Amino acid sequence: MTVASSDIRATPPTGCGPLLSIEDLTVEFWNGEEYERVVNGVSLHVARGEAVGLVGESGCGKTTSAYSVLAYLQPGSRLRSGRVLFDGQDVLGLAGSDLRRIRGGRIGHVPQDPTLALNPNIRVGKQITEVLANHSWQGDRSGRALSLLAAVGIDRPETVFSSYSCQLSGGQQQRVMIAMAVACEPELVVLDEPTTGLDVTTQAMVIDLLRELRASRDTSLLYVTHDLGVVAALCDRVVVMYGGKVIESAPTAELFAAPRHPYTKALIDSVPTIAAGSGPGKGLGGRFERRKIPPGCPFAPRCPLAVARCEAEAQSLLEATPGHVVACWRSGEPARDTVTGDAEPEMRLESRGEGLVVSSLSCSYTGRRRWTRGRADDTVVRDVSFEIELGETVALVGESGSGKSTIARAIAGLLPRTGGNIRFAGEPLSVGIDGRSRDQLRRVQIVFQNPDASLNPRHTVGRIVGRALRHYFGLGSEEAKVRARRRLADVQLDERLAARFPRDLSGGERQRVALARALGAEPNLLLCDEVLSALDVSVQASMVSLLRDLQQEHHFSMLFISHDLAVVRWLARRVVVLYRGQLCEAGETGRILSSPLHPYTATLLASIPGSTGGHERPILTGTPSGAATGRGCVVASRCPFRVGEICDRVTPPEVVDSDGTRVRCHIPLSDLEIRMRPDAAEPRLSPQRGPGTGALELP
Amino acid sequence: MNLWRMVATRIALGIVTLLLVSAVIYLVVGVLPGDIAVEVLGRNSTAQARHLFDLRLHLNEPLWDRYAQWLGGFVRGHFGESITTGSPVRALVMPALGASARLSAYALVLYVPITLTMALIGAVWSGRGPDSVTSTLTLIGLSLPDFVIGTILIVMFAVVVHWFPAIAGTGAQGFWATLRAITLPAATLAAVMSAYSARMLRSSLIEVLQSQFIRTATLKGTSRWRVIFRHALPNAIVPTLNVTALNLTYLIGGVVVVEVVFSYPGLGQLLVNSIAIRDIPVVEAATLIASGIYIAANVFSDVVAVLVTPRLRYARPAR
Repeated sequence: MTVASSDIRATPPTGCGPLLSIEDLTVEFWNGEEYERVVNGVSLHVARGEAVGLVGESGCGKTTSAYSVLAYLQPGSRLRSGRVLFDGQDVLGLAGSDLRRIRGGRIGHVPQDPTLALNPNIRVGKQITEVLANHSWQGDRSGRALSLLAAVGIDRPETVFSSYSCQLSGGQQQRVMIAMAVACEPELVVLDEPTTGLDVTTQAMVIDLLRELRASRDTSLLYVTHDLGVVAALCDRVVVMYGGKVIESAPTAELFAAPRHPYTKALIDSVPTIAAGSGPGKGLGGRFERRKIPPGCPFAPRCPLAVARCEAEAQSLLEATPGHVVACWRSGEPARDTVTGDAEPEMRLESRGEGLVVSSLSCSYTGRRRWTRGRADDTVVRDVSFEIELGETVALVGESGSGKSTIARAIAGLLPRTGGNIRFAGEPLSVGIDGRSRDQLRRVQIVFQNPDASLNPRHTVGRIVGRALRHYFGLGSEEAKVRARRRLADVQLDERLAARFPRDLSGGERQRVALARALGAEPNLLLCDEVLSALDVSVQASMVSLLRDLQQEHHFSMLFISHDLAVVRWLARRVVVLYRGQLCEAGETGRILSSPLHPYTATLLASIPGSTGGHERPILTGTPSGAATGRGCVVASRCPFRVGEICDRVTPPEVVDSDGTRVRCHIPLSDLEIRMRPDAAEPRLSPQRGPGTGALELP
Repeated sequence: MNLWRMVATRIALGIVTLLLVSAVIYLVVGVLPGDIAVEVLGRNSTAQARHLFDLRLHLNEPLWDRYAQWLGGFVRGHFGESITTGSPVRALVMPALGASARLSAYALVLYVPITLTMALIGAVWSGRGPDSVTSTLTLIGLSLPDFVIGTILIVMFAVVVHWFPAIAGTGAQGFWATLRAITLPAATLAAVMSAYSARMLRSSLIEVLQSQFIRTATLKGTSRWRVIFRHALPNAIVPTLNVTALNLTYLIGGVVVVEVVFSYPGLGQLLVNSIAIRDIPVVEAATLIASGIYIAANVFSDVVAVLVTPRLRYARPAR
């Protein structure tokens, strides 16, 4: 489908000089008492066709800086000084129709959360044609919107065109946002954490899409993220921010090979990798607090190399090597590796007897929707079995919709199971919490993904943690208070936080409170449901070490649910891989991560940005379509090894390998092993990964 | 498909509610203390007269039988006869209902633009001058009782300038004359209802204007007014719809005071008069009709809320 490309750019590109340059930008936020500098004298530039990654922890000012490019200031903020030159023109000085011509026309924008960023009340296609109409795109706007949807890899553009955003999956929504961002052929696209809310496999597809977008057109990208893995996969150059300032900037390869700023080093060290032998970093010590930023280097309070002079004197960005600038005068000194670094994880291997035994577990949501009974199969978990020995950690991995959280809820008794058995320490656990004794309840505790939602905002931290103690151990309020403080100390929180409310705490601290609450019950089994997903990378690393230390000390078993295989490597001895409610593969972590047998496991591994090892390409093709029917293999429609009709009809049996790995596949293990070998001669990939991920050609 | 099932469910539930309400009305009125015959015929009436009175109204039959008969009659459109005048209740209730409906319709026509204008001004200039003005106005509308507002309007527009009549009786002939006659009561009702809805719509608009899809629309280069009308308003209007449904009830049954102030022969005034003279069949019929309108309005607003919210209309794709 070709659409007559009408020229919406009045001004032709003016040759030399960077396309975008932010000069000395300072933005302040009203915090209720005074204006705080969130962006403090930031300068950066993006050349034509260049992809620049803007990274840092939450609160470092990267998002605010990026939105200033669109002359958009968040509510409650004001511009103190600075210029944003786009193609030689200061966008901060523009207003009215001049500004509207730039927004969406010459600079596109992809936001963090597509679910919230699409208007729920307007059909998706209409929202795309609106941007075309805003910029007076001549010709068939609907046709162009359709071809844009096809170009970003949407399967059935006509259907999606007339859908509302609530009818689309997260990945589809983000593709729609990308289609909208590039609709008017912008010269620059600003991306604000565009893959953070997505599944790993979806994230991989979106990154592929962006890469192809860059390859096929000369679009520049300003990519804001806290995920260094994504940056490595996509960007030419990286700008690192901390405390409102740019502290380092270098070409991507050089930054990863030779980071100079202590903060950058710590950030790179906290990135989880699945490479064998890599242990978790301790993460960064301390936490970023805006009020504690000294006049000098913003990182000084947390920096292991800091001396008195660092706090007092501001440091300017100096060129270390050509193209590599850093704001640290001690960057040339040999790094004392005190920021990060931890010994190889020592996995608890000795068995201490029977812990949790889950056999043939099935769960469905049918019970809740009586009206639709018999119409659709609502089974979300099918015939899943696994065990966790006492003191052991087992990880459940899979993308959203794989049923991993459902399993945790069934074990906790929050969701009735429809089939199978759950036993803990020799005793059967009844289906719902009503049938369980108080002691059984105490022994199984759960920590949820989002501490914002799971902690009562009107209770103090001390009350939240103390409640479990009073409930399970019948402690008086004074005694509970003392014990609650001890629990807080266990999770490395200041005891004084007991008097504060959850909203006063950072995301990492809140998750520690949730953990302290669960530990207060002195559980024998801790269910951790995506407890790290909502946290910054550097905070994640310290949570992982904390969980490991706590487990060493309190000897509880742990079911660790995650979609992040790299984190799993640090924590779990064994892994269970789920896809659409069915177990695909289960076994020792090292074995699964290094030589997966099931095609889905390999696909999941390949989705990790910047992944290394033999499995850089996903095995499965296309995207999942239609509802899981409960018959046949869950990956049958996407699997290149499909042996025949049996894959569609018969659920594969669990086959046990000599080393105890369980795989659900119709292909004999020996055969599968050969096919899955990274150097397998047989072309195992179809040339296209999925719809629209060939050479991307925008209409 | 899904939508129709939901509509059917709501309607069925509405009918059940209405049945319960009718039972409550009938039973409560039935167990009111005092002998109706004594109340109506007077203390000095003879026992025979009272017996005849009971026979005529079937008061000697069991309560349940009477209720079933009354309900059966109601469904067929026979509301019974007035105790005091002996004329059919229908002949009393229907004109009053018609008058109330005319007044309500006019009030609604005024209500929608007033609410929208006040809310939009408040939300777009939130915290600034125009918002202070509209906020003050709506606060006044909320805090003054409706009869005070009505009286102020009479003083301003009927006494000081003679634009509209102070009495909205049924004397006016023709469409425009009638319209002119009931402008002041309709304006009073609209003012009272808009005050609350405008504040509500303003705050939900302000909330919606802070959502991320508004930012998306702005950063697409969409003009400010298109962002407000096309992107924000449809998303902000749902809570206000429910309030509007509640307001409808106020219009039908609760406008007694306004009707009294303007001497308007609506359903509210009929109800109050009938209670005063213990004309039980009229009270029952008027109350049941008011309840029916109330329930219908709520069902209607629920359905409209679903229609304007795609998220409620379409389920997510299969897992």
